[in-house]
Amino acid sequence: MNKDKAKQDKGITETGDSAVPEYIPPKIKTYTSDEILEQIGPAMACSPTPCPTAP
Amino acid sequence: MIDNSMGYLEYGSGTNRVILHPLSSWWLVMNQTGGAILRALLQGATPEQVASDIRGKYGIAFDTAIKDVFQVLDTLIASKFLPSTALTLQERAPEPRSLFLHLTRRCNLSCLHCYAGDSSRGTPMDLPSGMVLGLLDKLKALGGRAVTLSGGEPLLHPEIKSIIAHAGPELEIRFLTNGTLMNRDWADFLADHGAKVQVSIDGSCPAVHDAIRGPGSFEKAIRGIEMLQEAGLSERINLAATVMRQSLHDLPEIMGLAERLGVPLVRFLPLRKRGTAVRCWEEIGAGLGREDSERFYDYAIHRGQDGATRPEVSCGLSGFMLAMPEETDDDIWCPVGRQLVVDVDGSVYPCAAMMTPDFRMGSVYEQGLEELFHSVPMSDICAALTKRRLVIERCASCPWRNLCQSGCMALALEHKGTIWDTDDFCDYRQKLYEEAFDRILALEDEG
Repeated sequence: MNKDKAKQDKGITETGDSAVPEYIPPKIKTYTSDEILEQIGPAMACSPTPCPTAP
Repeated sequence: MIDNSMGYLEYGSGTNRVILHPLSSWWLVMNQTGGAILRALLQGATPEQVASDIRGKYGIAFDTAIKDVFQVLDTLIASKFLPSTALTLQERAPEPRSLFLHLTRRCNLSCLHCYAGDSSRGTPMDLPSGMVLGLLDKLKALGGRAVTLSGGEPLLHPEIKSIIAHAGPELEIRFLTNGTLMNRDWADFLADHGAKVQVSIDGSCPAVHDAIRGPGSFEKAIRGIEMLQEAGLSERINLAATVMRQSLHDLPEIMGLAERLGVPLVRFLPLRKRGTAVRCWEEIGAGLGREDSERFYDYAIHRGQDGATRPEVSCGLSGFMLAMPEETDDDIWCPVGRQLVVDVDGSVYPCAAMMTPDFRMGSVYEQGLEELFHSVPMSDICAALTKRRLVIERCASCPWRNLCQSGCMALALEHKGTIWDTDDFCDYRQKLYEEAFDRILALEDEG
């Protein structure tokens, strides 16, 4: 029973006696600055240059 | 885990992981299959070998596997994560893009935290206009793009009008003012010359602002901002507020004030123990703990996009960003190496927050702009800017090193007395990065 549970946790499915893990296609994602702004918020995106120092 | 022999960095423990480029600020998110493909490619397997392994492991068609492998490979190449042989650290090369001019020591206010106060005693009152116009001509000839006009109060420079007129239209003008001397003529003049104007506001009401900047300064500054708005500057105005003991409780209210004034951006700057601030430290800085600043940064960051005004804290948090600014074509966010800061006495420094004898690079009275930009001190500071993240021990092993790039050199100098260390906000910044990427990973897991 523990063995079955371990297989389930690893996403392994069984067909008869052979165990073949489920194939999940690769997912790869890059983000633009605008997408970061949209998802994370403005304070986390970037700072205009030059460094905004004030006397 | 990704094979770290190439220095690739990985964050996360769930289905999706953040993979960070070893030498640049680039990062992407991939699932476990994507990570396994990247790992195999990094270990030298060909796409066909990787696809064959996938077919063997999962029992899927080779055509499906090879298509998926190439999809990952193409994205990795487009994102410059591969080929690993092409991995290089982009270096900051000196380039004359802008000048930051402290035009005058004259100021109608005596602010408790002014970094340009006190320390300028004994130096000339103004940077002569002949010198300034010559510097602007040379900057234009070298392909420069912008000039920041600061002081003291730049409106008090006797020739400020001719300086502004001379800078434009080739150079973008960034004008740093306390706002109290603004009148309709000045506002129209600045608007006509396309200037971006930063007004220093350290409180949302006279009780806070005037205690720092002097009696009556709040009302005059607010009237100044209103005149700038009436002149049509609108998106070209921002407020700047320094985080200090007196104003800490009031900083959120400054956001409300900016919204009422129609100002789109408020920059919150860290207090630096320089100039007048040294003398007034007991009043403005003593008792101001790192935790106090962090509580405010928490507020600003988690405030999100509510309201029309945007808070900017990345200067105070020295490089807390998830993407480099668009104009940062060499992947280094700090402007050092692309600007020269000129003090009233003609001394030249790499940064307005590093105006100390150790970082004095020369004088505009003794050297030309081109010579200063290509001097040994400039080359040294550019090399330091590039390599700090690899040299500072705690940065070298940090996954966020290519994003924060070891933080602001000036703040490290302020906190630790050296640029070869990080600043006091390093731990906090790491926590914010983890929160930000946890949120991105959570969104990916949901999607």
